[in-house]
Parts: sequence; C-alpha cells; structure tokens
Amino acid sequence: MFSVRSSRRLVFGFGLLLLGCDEEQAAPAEFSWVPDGFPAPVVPEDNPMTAEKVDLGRHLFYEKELSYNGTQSCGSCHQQALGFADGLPQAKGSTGETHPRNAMGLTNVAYAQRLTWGHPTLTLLEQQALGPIFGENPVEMGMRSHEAELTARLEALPLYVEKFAAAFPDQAEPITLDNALKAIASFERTLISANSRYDRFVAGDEAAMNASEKRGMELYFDEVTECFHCHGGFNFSDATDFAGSVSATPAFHNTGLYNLNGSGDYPTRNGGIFEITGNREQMGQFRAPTLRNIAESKPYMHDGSVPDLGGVIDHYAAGGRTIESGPYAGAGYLNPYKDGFVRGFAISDQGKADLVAFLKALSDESFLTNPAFSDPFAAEGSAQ
Amino acid sequence: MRQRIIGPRLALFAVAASACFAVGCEEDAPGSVATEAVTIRFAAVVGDLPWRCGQLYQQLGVTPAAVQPQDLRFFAHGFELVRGDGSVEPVVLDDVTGWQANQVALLDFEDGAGKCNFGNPDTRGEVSGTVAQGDYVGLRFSVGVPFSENHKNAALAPVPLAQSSLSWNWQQGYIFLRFEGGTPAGRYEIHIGSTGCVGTTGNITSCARPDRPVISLPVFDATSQTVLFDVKQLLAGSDITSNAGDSIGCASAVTDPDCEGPFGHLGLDLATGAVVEGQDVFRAE
Repeated sequence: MFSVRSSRRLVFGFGLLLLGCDEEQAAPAEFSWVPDGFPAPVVPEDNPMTAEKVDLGRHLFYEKELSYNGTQSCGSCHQQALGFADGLPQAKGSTGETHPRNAMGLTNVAYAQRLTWGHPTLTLLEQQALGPIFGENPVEMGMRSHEAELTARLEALPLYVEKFAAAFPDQAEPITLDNALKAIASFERTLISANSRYDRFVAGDEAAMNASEKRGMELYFDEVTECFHCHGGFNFSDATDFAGSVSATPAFHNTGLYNLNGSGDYPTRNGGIFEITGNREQMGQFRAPTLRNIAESKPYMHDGSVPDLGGVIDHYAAGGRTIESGPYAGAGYLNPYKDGFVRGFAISDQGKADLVAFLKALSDESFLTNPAFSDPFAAEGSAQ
Repeated sequence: MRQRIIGPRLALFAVAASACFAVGCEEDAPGSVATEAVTIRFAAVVGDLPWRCGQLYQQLGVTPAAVQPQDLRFFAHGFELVRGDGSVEPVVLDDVTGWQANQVALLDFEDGAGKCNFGNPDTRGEVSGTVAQGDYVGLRFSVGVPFSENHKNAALAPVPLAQSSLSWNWQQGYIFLRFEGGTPAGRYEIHIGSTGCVGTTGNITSCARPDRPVISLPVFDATSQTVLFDVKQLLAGSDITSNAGDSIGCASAVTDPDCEGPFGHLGLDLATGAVVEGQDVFRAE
C-alpha cells in the first residue's frame, strides 16, 4: 500500500512537450505515497513532497538531539507500534514534566483539519512541530532559547549534512530550522493507514471481518450510537481535510467528559479550544481524532482519563461521564456545552463487545509495522 | 536632537526619507524634509532600583513579596515623536542585526545571569531610527509586534523575531512582553500577546484581543531622558504569591484573574485587548 515511485508527472510531461522543452531532467521526480482510494492530503505549496525530504524527516523524527538534554525525539511520545501515541495517560516531556494532554496518535495526521487536541487555527505540521520542540508550558523537548544549538548539532553530524543537502539541493546552507520542520512534516504526511481489516472488508473481502466485528460495524454506523457523526468518513473523523475538500468550519466537540461545579467547566489546563478563543461556549471542545489504529493508542480522551475502549463506550452510552467525588466531580451528561450528538444510548453487553471488536478491526498491522515509518537508528543498531 | 521646526512639507516625508537613505543623507534633496538620527534609550527598574538578573527585590505586588529576576524582554514598534501641537512624526527604525528588523525592535533586560538562565548575555536598552528634523516634546510607541509581522512563519522571520523564547505557538504569534520572576511560591510570569486569533497557519486573519499597549509620554526628550520600564508598577496589582486561572501568573488569557493587574497597569482592557487609560509601567526620566 505504501510505495515510493519515481515517475514523471503526466501533466508535467505534456507541459514540456507544449513548450518544446527537450531537457527531460527538468521534470521533478514525483513522490507518490497516497494509497488508492484515499484523497490527496493538503500539502503546502512551499513544501512539496519528495523522497529525500521524507527520508530526512524520518531521521529527524527519531533524532534525540532535537531535545535539549538528548533524551527524547518526536518518536518518544509517538511510537509506531502504538499508532504513534505513547500509551501513557498524559505525555511526559524530556525533563520529566507531565503534559496536561494525552499524546495524540499520528495515524493519518496528514488529513487532520486542525492539529493537536484542541487548536482552532493550527493547520500546518511545519508550525505544529515548533510547539513540542520549543514549548515551555509544559516543557516537552526543551529547546527553548537553544535554536542555534539545534542547527549546530545537526551540522556536526555527517548524516544530516548529507541528508539536508539531498533534501534541499538548491540551497547552499540547507541545515536550517525551517528546513528541519519541512522535512519532519513531510515524513508525518506519509503516515497514512488504509489497510485495516475493515478496509479489506469494504474492498470486498468478506472474510476480513468476523461476525462480531460486522455486528459492531452496524452499531457504529447507526443513528442510535451516533458514533459516525463525529468519527465518520474515510478517516473516521469529522475534523478531516484533504486537497480539494470544501473548507468547513473546524469541528470540535464537548462530549460531556466533565462538568465541574455544574458550570460546564473542564479541569484547569484542559479547557479545550476555549483556552485559545476565550469563548465560554467552546469550553471542553476538542477535536475528534481518527479512530484508525485507535485500539493501539489507549488510554483515551484528551487527558487519557478513560483507560480502555469499553470505558469510552460507557461514557458515550451514558451521554457523558459522571464523576462522583474528588476535584473533578460532576455530572458530565449535564454539561451545558455538550455536543447534541452525545445524548446517550442503551447497549447490551454483547453490543458493547461487538462495538469494541469493530474498533479493533480499524487497526492496520501493515501501518504499525511498516519499515518506512520505523526508527532508522534502532534498525541500524546505533541508537542516537 | 536638533530642535528645528520643519514647515508644512510633511507629506513628502516618506518619499524624502527613502531618497535620503539612498544618498546617505548628506544633503537634502530640493523640497524634501531633512531627517536626523534619533536614539531612544530604555532602562528597566524596580521603583528606584535598576532591574538586574541575580538581584533580589523586596516588597513587590499586593502581598507583598520578594522577586528574583528571570526574564524581562519586550517588543516595541510604531515609534512617533510628538510636537507641542500634538502632531506626530514617525520614527523609521534602523535595521540592527539581532535587535531591529521589519520596523520592530526588541528591548532586552536579561543578561542570562542568576535565574535568567533561559536568556542570553546580550542586552538591549535602546531603539535607533530616523525622524524628520523637528521640535519634539513627547514620545509615543506601541508594545508588541504589529499584526502584519505577528503571524508569519517564525522559523523564517529575521532576528529578533526568530527567537524561540519569544515565539508563542499557541496563538501562532509572539510574546510581546515577557516578564518572569522567581517568588517565594516558585515562579510568576506575565506574558502579553494577542489572543483569540482566527484563521489558519500562515493566514491568521484577525485576533479578538490585540493586547498591544500604546505608551504615550507627553514630556520626553530623547537627548536627555530615558524610558523607564518599572517592574514595581507592572506587579502593583498582582498577588505574586498565589495563582488563579490556568497559567502561572498571566498568559493574557481573558478569563485569568491574574491578568487584571498587569493589563490595567499596561493600559489594556482585559476583556477586549483595547488600549485604555491607566498605563503607569512606563515613564520618562
């Protein structure tokens, strides 16, 4: 499903003919990575995909020198086997600081309409990476104030002198922060999962899903559970964009996970996009992540406060979570800002088991083990 | 500054200024306005004391409590000199490597010493530029980065904008003013910047709350006076020993009670981010 082909663009070829150009080497190699049946992701005009950039980005993604104390790479909190999440309720930065949020899986992040759990304007992976690398609240990779050292470290490693030159062949001094961000974003855009057992079933392989999973699929797509309203479409997320898609109002939802003091509040530092917009109506609104590979990336929700998929279904079946006591006590189902689709439903134990089975059928073994996405330093036996 | 009064040829200023740069300003082109260099000096103080990393300042805020400097930097732009009749003349900022670019200047009052360990040894206490020759009595400027520069790709911006410690990824802009101090309770921060921004990366179209203080010093002589930034006034309305709201201190969140003090003293309305009366952090001396 994942392939890197070097062929010339048909359209480009015609252009050359029309112009009477006989210098064929002028045509750039096409980088093709989108699986059949999936739309092309949005790629910024100033950062076209190339095999060389993706290769550089893969190395940078797993490069621990990008953290100030050399202990973490992007891949530390975004592990391939876990759908590029980290398995922790809340992520831990390079200095040990706990992030308020659960590390998001990066499956199909190229299609994410907005980035991170709750950001109403952050659309480009190139800019998003500035957050974990330089962020201070919390400290993740801890490079704040050390941007000169970041590029100096890369310049000192022959691997990067070579790979930056290959990825940015027109530039005399290609080792820059901007280019590093472009390369990491290019690699991230290749992380497309389209080969789950569900996909194979949809493609006609009746045997790809068992009876329980098929029953779960019926439940998933019905108007009782309402799952598909927010987690719908090819990407199992309504917060999905692709090249040529109609630009919609960015989608964020309050699912009634909390209701502090009966006022609709969410816990401190986890207020959703309200934190950025200052609009109380947006309290607790977060992005609906793709559910592809969701079974691999537990625990769940923006703060990792739901341990497993069964707990997630219980939360939605109740139309919002009730916390009886403690600092977060409150009846989430009464949250005044809750999304209308989270209204609760009755489900049998068997139905719940079937629904969980279906969600597990969205895992994509070929994605989780694709060598093209793996840590190149681990593969070489020379961890950095 | 020479105290010369220039007549009614102000409309020619912009053209004249650029022509002047081209020819090195040795003589005025016919019909143009002569310009002169101007340097506006800044200093950071705590009441009567200079603000220095490594020092300890007592009795700050409403509690009051002691503060150890950790950071103090701010961007400024839109400098104008004010005549006696209230009319103003813009100061065209020089390009100064590391400190001034794209008509934005950085003032930097941390030298990396003591607890200012996220800073660097370099400091900056002046803004340099060119202004039409004239007789000026006052100064006006804005704190922050203008909207036109605030939301561009930070990884490609010229220094001083391209500094990770002043970039503000969560609003895809910059921290206009960064104050941080060590307190008995740990740390207190004041980060002022535009919030409620809408749009998409690289195409932020507006911000609900601009949060750019406008500082008017009606009596200011650049040749003899300095613009003081007084930390004592910045913290005058704050209880730096406790924290309300999400962030430690104030990160310009409209709902954070800790922002009421610094916003008021910087002459900003917290709810709207608009400029209001009451600025007393900056003064001329």
